[in-house]
Amino acid sequence: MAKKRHVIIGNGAAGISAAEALRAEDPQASITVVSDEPHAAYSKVLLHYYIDSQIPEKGLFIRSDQFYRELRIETVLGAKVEAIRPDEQRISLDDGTQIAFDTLLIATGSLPHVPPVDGLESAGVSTMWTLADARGIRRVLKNSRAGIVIGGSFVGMQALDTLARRGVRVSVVDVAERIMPNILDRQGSEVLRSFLADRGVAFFLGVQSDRIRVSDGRKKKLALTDGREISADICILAAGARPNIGFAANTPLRINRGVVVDEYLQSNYPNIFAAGDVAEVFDRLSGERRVFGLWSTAVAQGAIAGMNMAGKKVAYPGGIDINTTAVLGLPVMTIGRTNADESAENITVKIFQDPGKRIYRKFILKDEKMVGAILMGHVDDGGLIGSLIRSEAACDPLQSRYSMGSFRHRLNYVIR
Amino acid sequence: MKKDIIINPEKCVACRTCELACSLAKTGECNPAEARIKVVMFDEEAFYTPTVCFQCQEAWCAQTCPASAITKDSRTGALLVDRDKCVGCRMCTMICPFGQVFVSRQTGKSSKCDLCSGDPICVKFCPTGAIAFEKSDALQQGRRKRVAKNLMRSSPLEIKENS
Repeated sequence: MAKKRHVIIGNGAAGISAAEALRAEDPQASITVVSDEPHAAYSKVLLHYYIDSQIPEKGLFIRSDQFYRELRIETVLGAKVEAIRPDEQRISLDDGTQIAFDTLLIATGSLPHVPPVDGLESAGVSTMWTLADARGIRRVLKNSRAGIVIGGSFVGMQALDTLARRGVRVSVVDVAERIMPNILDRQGSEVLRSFLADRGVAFFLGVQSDRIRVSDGRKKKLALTDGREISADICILAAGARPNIGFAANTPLRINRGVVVDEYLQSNYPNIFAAGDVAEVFDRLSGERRVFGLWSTAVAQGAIAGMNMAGKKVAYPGGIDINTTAVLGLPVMTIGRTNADESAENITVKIFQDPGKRIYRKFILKDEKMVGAILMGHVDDGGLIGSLIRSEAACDPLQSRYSMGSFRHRLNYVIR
Repeated sequence: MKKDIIINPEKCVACRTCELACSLAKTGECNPAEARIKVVMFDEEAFYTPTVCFQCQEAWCAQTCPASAITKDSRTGALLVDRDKCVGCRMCTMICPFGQVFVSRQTGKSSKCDLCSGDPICVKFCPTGAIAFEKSDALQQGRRKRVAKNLMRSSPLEIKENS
């Protein structure tokens, strides 16, 4: 049998995880990784630790050149994929190169959403998405005293954290009325907002950014639609992300928000798979299709896609939304469905709060089974709560041990 | 064959000496919050048991770590956290189905059982013999498998192969 040619577009969490699984399953096959970024694989989720110098730049890189050699993975770096031609089983790169494949994995990740604000091209205004962005932000930060973060969601919080750690006075602007609205409930958003406000962060919520003007070289003024103005030296755009489907024009691949795949992470072409931030998969809890923009789901999906590319038949059980971050030292973790309709009859909610200790913990149960949790301040049992959600074990939310104590108890009971 | 930490819950009296020995050895202070082995208690049933990292073969903490900071020690089989690489992002805490990794308040880095380089101190200090360090026999392996199977149902990857 001829050697199989596996091609992976993307050198991130999903792409690398798939390449490793592929090599483990198929020692003979040829594996090619194509990426539009010129470096070896690095962790986008660690960029903010690099920006405020908690880690050196080399700490971002998760695989060395040696890794690619040892696993005999051919790399085509710094090349953008222009078209995927499923019927001809090849991809075309922007430099004209054609690469033929037997199986293809689309693991192109996501791109930051850029909000419609005038003046974003000014120097000192940047997304916080790539290594190049992070290097640029570090340069501007050297002479920055005030910063603006446009977007109060996950990446916005990380941007806020890294700016504040560098001694920058931060203002956060978002059209939404509250911060992290997708994963926190109203009360949780307020706990986090007041914690940050107490530490000097200014919030401009429920208002749109209109335009950025630059005065005397680098001072920027961001005008809001309600007439207010914020001055800053640096502005970070953190307005969410969308699947990177730039290659999608004129393709017969089925694409909705992301590349639509089935439970085997297979697209409408049986030899073309998708994994990570670009894949539209099933949400395990709602059963609906969605795109997960998460490192951990990308790793899991990549591994499964890799095995399936090698000819196995492994099903992805569906993703669960899990998030972890820490903002100015306050750990925040969310697991599962955190914004369920609490008026529904079969939904029970239990909140444990200790404002003095900056602890806010909320558990959401549906038909007496855990479906989601918001953990702030005390998050050590997040993994166990994930297990409780996945195993669909019945829980009693009224037990006191669910408060500050740990789910370890319940889970070990299950183990025994 | 490598040795494992084997727990015999029947012998545990919840004295939590293991927690103190662990935290003292690892952090220099007797602070159960920093212990990597934790005793859980079911008071109503008078059932107590230490819990500690299983040093998984397919370790989701290691696979998920965005800093590639968790690796398997080929000599002891322990999953070790490289403190220079770890950023304390808690992705391992979030993904471990057994809840056995946490971020130390002292160091801000991930903390988990490292088998004390092959000579675990909790075992030495356990006054009742509830914690042993030995080559696991078939019975113990069977129990472990059952535990894992129970939880594999809830693992992040949850591989289902079609027969």
